[in-house]
Amino acid sequence: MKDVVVIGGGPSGLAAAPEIGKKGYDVTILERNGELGGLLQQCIHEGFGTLLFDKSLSGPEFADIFINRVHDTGVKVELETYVKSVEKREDGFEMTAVTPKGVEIIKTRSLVYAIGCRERNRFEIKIGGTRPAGVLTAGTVQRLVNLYGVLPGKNPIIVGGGDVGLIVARHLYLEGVESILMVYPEEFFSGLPRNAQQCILDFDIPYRPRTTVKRILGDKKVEAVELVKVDENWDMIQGTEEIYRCDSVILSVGLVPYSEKVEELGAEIDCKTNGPVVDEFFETTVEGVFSVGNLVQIFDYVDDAVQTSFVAAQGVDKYLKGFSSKRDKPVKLKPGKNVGTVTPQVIAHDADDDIKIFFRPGIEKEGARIELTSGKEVLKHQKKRYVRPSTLEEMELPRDILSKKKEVMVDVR
Amino acid sequence: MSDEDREVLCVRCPKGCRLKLFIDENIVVKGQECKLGVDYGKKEARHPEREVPTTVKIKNARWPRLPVRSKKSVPLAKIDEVMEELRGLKVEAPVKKGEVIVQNVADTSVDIIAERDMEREV
Repeated sequence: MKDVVVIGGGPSGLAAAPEIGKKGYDVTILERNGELGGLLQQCIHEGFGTLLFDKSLSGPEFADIFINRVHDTGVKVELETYVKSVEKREDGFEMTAVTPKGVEIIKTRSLVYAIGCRERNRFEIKIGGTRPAGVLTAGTVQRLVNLYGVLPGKNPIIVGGGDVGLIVARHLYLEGVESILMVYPEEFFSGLPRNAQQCILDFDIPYRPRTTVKRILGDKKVEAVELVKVDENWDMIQGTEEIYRCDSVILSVGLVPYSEKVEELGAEIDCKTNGPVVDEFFETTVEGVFSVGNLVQIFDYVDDAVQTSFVAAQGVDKYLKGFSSKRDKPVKLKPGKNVGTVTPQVIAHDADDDIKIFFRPGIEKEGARIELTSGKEVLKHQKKRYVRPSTLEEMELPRDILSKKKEVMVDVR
Repeated sequence: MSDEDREVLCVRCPKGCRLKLFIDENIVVKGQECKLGVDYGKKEARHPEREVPTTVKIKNARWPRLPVRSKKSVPLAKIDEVMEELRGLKVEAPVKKGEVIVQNVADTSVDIIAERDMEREV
């Protein structure tokens, strides 16, 4: 029986495992790929680590720091190991895993899910038309280009103006495709200004705001798309259709926590984040099962995502020692006025440390006032110079304001 | 605006002000909503520089590509030349993280370095 199994050897799993291991527990990372690092190994651009290490690293460099910590703390690593199913038992959890040696049963007292997110596909944003080869998600393209040196086509169109799409546009430009067009439904790129400038504007890559792909055309391979303009509600404007010739369609249309596995285990899922409901130590509603990183919600920065792992490590420690700090009645944290998502969703413990909450604004606003409220009482407020839905915000939540509260709302005014 | 004048997004915060840079003996920045924009605009006006993240071919390794980057930023105008020089290159595993792959790439006095270890796997 192991103390802790961390499922997933990407950034959040790599951050969680050594943090728990150095407390003296028997920790194992199970990773389905043949090497550690997850998405980081294909994110060859810089900008990682600026919040955590005060320097700008590439994805592989950022991963390397944590891989070293894994080895230094004696954490065990099982590669090419895929967890097929998990059953709750009286003394812990029993996993059925597909490993290079065959199907194996692995037993553990606690579990940390660090399995990240997946990319949304064409059907989730209702792109019609045929189903030819050459329609790929941006992450797949990034993997093909940066690990295999394979381009998706010579004349790609990129759908979506978020950070992943912007970064992929630059890779494709630098690797020498003939033409690129980026389209997105917003008025302006939803990615960071740094990426908009340094990936698109620097190279004069053509882009069209308030535009989306209505249909994909082509028999065996992508031959063209039908573009259409959209209004401010992203509704298509009839009569603005236009055929655009291209040989591949790259979708960068959002990420969704990969929460099916924890849901199977009985964890409650938040319909706003699409990730499991977690408390301030990232424990799900199934005792002994923790969830970290992009599985909880989609973070803008890997630096923020891995911080959930550091906090969860404390929670795992508490759990294995047999919780002493759980409150009788947990406080619920909810998105209120003009707020899309809030994590954690529950404050379940009495402890001394303050809690860092993350929330996604539902509107774009200058001079916004963030309020934590309970009924009509404002418990805390804070000014933010500028907020928008595509930028995740954070705020300190002091525990002392929670006493005798059942529910706290986060509002943007 | 003269030929040298440029428009650029301020990258100092998520707001992304559209800066107009009027480049003469002095640099005048317009369009910013705070003083970070003036500071950024002035730096960006004279010598815009960028880091270059890319890959080169590698033999006998886990992957067919090795991720590499410029050790420091290079002039924006030199990026095409940097890419051209890297395109034909093929290295062989093993490679160590931080190893210099190309010295003084495209005469920029900047080195191209490996982003990760790549062990020999045949």
